[in-house]
Amino acid sequence: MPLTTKIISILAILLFLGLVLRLILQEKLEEKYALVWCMVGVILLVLVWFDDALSFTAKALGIVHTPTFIFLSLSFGAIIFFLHLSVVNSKLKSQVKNLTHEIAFLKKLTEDLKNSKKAEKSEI
Amino acid sequence: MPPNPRILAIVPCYNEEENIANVVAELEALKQESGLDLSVLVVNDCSKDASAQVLATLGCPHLNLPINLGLWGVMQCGYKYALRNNFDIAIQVDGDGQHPPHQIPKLLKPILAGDSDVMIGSRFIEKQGYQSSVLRRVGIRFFKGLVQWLVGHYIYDTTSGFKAFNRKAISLVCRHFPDEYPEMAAIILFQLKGLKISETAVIMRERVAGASYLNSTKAFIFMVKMTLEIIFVFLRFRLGFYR
Repeated sequence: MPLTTKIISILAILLFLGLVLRLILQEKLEEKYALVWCMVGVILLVLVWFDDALSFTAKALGIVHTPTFIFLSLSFGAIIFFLHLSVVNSKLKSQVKNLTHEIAFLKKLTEDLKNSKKAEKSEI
Repeated sequence: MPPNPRILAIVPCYNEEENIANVVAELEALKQESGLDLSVLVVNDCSKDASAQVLATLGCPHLNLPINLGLWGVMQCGYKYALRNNFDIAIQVDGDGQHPPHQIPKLLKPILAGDSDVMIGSRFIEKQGYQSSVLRRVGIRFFKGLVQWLVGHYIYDTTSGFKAFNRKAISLVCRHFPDEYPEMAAIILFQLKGLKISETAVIMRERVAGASYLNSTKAFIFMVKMTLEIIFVFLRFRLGFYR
C-alpha cells in the first residue's frame, strides 16, 4: 500500500475511534456496542499497518483481488450486525407493547380510584 | 365452566367516534335482556379522533393506550385484563359496529355448555349478511386452504374477528402472541395445542361509519405477512419452541 494511502487510512481510522470514544463519553453508545466498534477500529488499524497480512489472507482464501476480500468481509460483518439489530428491535417492540398495556391498566386504576374517592366525598 | 360465568366483551376502538356509543349501548341492552354476567371493556388504540372524549362520557370501563399498537396489541391488552380480573370468557366485538351483539348468546352457547374452547362467528357457513369485498373473500379462501393443509381442520371463516375464548384460550394468547395478524395464527396454535374450535353462522353488518384501513396494496402485504406468520407458528410448535 503506498505510504500516502496508509497515512490517510490511519488518520481516518483514528478519527473514527475518536468519534466512538466521544459517543461513549456522552453516554450515547451502550458499552457492548462501544466494545464492538473499538475492536473494529483496532482491527482496521492493524490491517492497514500490516497490509501484507491482508493480501496473504485474501490469497489463502483463494481471492485474487485484495479489495474484493475487504468488500466481502465488510459486507458480511454489516449483514450480521443488521441481523443483530433486528433481534434487538423485535425485543424492544415487544417490551414497548407490554409497557403500553401496563400504562393503560395503571391509568384506569388511577381513574377508578379518583372516581371512588369523589363518590365517597359526595356521600359524606 | 362456573354456573354463572363472567363474560368480558372486548371492544377494540380506533377512530370510531361515530360508532362506539352505539356498540356500547347495544352491549348494555344485551346484558339487560339476556341476564348474562356481561362486562364491557373498550380499548382505545390511541385514536386520533374524538373516540377518547366519547368514551369518557359513556361511563363504561375503558383503557386508553398511550401509543397505537394495532388490533392485536389492543386485543392482547383486553385478554390480559380478562385474565387478571378473573373473567371466564372473553369476546371480541369490533368497535365499528360490524359484529352484532344480539348474536353473542348464540356464539357463547357451546362454550357455556363446555363443548368448545373457542367459538368463531362465521360469515360463510350460511353466507348471509355482509360478506366482505371480493378481494377479501379471495384472501379468506386462500387462508382457509392453508389452515386445512397445516392442521387438517376446516374453518369456514379464518379471518373473523367475532370470536369468543374460554379461560384456557385466553391464557394461551396472553403467553404466546405474535404482534400482527393473529386471527389465523391463533387458530393454528389452538388447534395444535388441542383446544376445541367450533364455528357458528352469524350475520355480520357492513360498517356503519368511517373507513377500513385496508386498501388493495395493504391487503396484498397483509396476505404475505399473515402466510409467513402462520407457517412460523406451525414450525415453532412442531419444533418445540412453545412451552
